[in-house]
Amino acid sequence: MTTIDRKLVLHIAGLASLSLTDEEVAYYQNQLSRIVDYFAQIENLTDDLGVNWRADTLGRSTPERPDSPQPSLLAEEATAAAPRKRGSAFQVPRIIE
Amino acid sequence: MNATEIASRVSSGALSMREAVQPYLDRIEKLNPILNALVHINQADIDRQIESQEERLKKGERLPLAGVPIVVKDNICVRGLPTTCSSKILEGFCPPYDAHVIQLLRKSGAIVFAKANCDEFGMGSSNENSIFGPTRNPWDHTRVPGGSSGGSAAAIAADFAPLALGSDTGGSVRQPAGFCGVLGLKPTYGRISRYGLVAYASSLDTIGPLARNIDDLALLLRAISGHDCRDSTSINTSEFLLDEDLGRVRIGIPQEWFADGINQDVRNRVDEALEVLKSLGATLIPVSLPRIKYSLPTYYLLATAEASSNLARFDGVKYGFRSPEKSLSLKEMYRRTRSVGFGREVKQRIMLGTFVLSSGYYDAYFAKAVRARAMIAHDFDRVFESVDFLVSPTSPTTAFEFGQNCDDPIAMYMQDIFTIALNLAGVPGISIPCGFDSHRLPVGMQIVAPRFAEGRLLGIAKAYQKITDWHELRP
Repeated sequence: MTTIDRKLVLHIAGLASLSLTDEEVAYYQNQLSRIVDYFAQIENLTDDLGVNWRADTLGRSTPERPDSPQPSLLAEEATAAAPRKRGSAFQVPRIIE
Repeated sequence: MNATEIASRVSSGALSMREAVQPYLDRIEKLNPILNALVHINQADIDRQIESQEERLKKGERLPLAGVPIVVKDNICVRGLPTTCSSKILEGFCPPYDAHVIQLLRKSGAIVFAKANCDEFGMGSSNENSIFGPTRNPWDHTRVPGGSSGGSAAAIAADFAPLALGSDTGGSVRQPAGFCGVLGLKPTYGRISRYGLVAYASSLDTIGPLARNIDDLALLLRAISGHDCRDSTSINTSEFLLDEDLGRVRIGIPQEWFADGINQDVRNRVDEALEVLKSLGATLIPVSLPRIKYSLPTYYLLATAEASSNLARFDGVKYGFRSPEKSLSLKEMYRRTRSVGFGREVKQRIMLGTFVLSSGYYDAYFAKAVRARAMIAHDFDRVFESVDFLVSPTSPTTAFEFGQNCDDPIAMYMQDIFTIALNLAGVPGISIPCGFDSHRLPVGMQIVAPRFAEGRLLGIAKAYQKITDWHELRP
């Protein structure tokens, strides 16, 4: 059974690009522990899948589209909702230190 | 008036589109401040749509949804209206494009006239996780409408519109439909394009219609179904015909779904509904879905994993909220934006998903859940070899009070115990009102069909509605 401790919560938050307050770390440690304990019952499932099984549920192939160029959004449209932009580029903090 | 009547009268010229839409707008103005079902309405945009659609009608175009007002869940992109997914991280975002279903609705002559409140990014079963505040159940304002498509379901129940669209990833159309006493359909995965639906869990998400009666639901479903080359999971489906003949219909009653934990009033109403179906000629057959008890952990392992990936795009760069703090590095900007922009439940699910996909835990959790899903889907395929439909309650309880399940994640997740497996298997299911509990709260019955059997599914629901009137009752 996996133990969700403070160190693991902070590691997960880092992977997910989230900053947590100390209060949030304690909250999510409790919540995640309860949920992951609940997930553990999946260990009891007997796996009887054969060789030819599919991970998707479609059960049939989906149509392909022709490999032909299609119009896309204009730069002005694509950047219209940007929090900060310069011209038709998204403006962000310095990337290279 | 229902949607079918509106479309017919507008098409014949007996009713103008303005006359069709205005009564709903008047009702919304009066009741939405109480119910909080709708979060964006733009009168100028409605006027433009009416003018444009009336022009098309004058030219003789055939418009199956002529003048019908439709409410759309706020996680479906509508050009010109905000699409926020009820989240701070998308505050003020107006998409530069319409979702495929919206394009089809406009082509059919519908008036896309309001965005509905929902749980943030579709994550929730009560519509309590929204930056706009909770939606109230029209039947009892102290109770939730269900979620995550709570606004859409409440809008139909309160007669804010005859038709609505929601999205269903684990029950988010069916469960609020059940709580609000209206119809809600989760279609077969692949029947309706997801292009323009903000993704929560891409292999589980479906867009679903809500309405009061089956003819209206079928009208909407026909308008929005079909292949779209922009959604690679979208399938070519043929037109469906409603089959109301229950003469040789076999209805499976999964024993695992009728064990303990169901509210007694809910159980009684569903039992009574089954007797009605029997009186129409159906045969009830006990069946087993032996691995169905693993559907809840399987769903939350897979859905949160997919969500952690899908929501990685919300970083403050291209749209929505960005942390206003100065002197941040790029990575700090991501962290601060996401930490402030996402609500508590969304952050929890992102972290769960990140955990199950992370090194050292992937095989034990995610990989196992993918196999579990395939086994659960096989159980549905196998049981449909001997029966035509399955029936269960839509939810184990009727609408609960605000705040009741907020602190217990498992209790909240258990609301979806009957609905979740259908998303894992990709099969269609409908919630249909089948009575009330002792507090006069609606009870929903779920009917499940094999993949692409929507014609038969809507047919059995129509046959049931013909001899009951639960769907006509109003709060």
